[in-house]
Amino acid sequence: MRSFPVNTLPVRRLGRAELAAERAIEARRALSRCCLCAHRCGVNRNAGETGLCHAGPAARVFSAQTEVTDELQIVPTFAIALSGCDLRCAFCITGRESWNSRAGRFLDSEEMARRATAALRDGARSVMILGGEPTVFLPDALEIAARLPDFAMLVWKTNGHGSPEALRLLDGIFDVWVADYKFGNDACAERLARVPDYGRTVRGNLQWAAEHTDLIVRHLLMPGHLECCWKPAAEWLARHLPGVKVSLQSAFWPAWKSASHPELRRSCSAVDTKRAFELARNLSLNLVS
Amino acid sequence: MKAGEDPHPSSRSNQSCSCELLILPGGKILAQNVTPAMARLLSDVDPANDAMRLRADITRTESKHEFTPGN
Repeated sequence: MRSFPVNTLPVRRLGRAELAAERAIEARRALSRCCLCAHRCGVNRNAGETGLCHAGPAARVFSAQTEVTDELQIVPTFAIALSGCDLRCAFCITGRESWNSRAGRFLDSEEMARRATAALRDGARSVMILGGEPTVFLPDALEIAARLPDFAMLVWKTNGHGSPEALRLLDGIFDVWVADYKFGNDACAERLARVPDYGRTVRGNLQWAAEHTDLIVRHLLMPGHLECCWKPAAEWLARHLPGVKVSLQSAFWPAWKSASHPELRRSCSAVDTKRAFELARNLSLNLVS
Repeated sequence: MKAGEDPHPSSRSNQSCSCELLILPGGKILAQNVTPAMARLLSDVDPANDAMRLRADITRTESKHEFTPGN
């Protein structure tokens, strides 16, 4: 019998599917003291307790279809949208489902993975898991990933408000991250999305994602928020993540509870849109469409 | 607005398709959750819109079937 010195024992590397399966089990256990997002409520979701997101242990899906709305790098994408979110953005275009983790139908991970695999076979370029905020149901997202072929391009579309624990569970699973950088200051984040300490959390997560994934940072230009949100966000990106792909979304849609904020009752003006893109070019941001 | 059946091959896994359009007073159309078929339709409505044309072109390249009215 051949023996090996300990430091040269052959190591079997896990494929992504196997890794995701292991992480899914760990994420499921983590719901017993849920700290998946930066709110860190610590409730036992497996026992029926709920935190700020009001999410229980079982994920629901409110949309699953092939779409081409997103960034060209990833479309057509089979987009799986999970209900529930840890933020409360007044302007959310899927507010009805994102604010309600019980919207939609129960997720059958195996069935969803079959549909996603079929979509890939039929021409979809990627599979995207989004919300709401998919971190809320990280175990289920990982269970889907565990059932997808290793060659599939997996996309994680996130609000960037996950905890370090969530990042560790996500590491190495998703090829592309599309992460929001919504607010350039904490005051707007508190007022419009009821989230404290937004900047520190999201900027830290964006830096992590830039090092661990193929990152696309998305900013939704909002009427009246060019100077207070886009400008500081753009300047931070230029300084701290030079060259990162930036997707500047200019088609603001006054949805959900936007009307409760006067400046959000309209779409962006052509003037503001032009100024926003000029700023991006002046900062040499790597804009993608 | 429900798009109903989307004949793009990658949409065969869609059990039902849904996308939303918001038509602003000035005639500008905002679209979300755009399916391949809707991208082609919107590109035909506004051929000058590069963003939608690129997305429609991707779906034409990927599509094995052509959608024709009445099919």
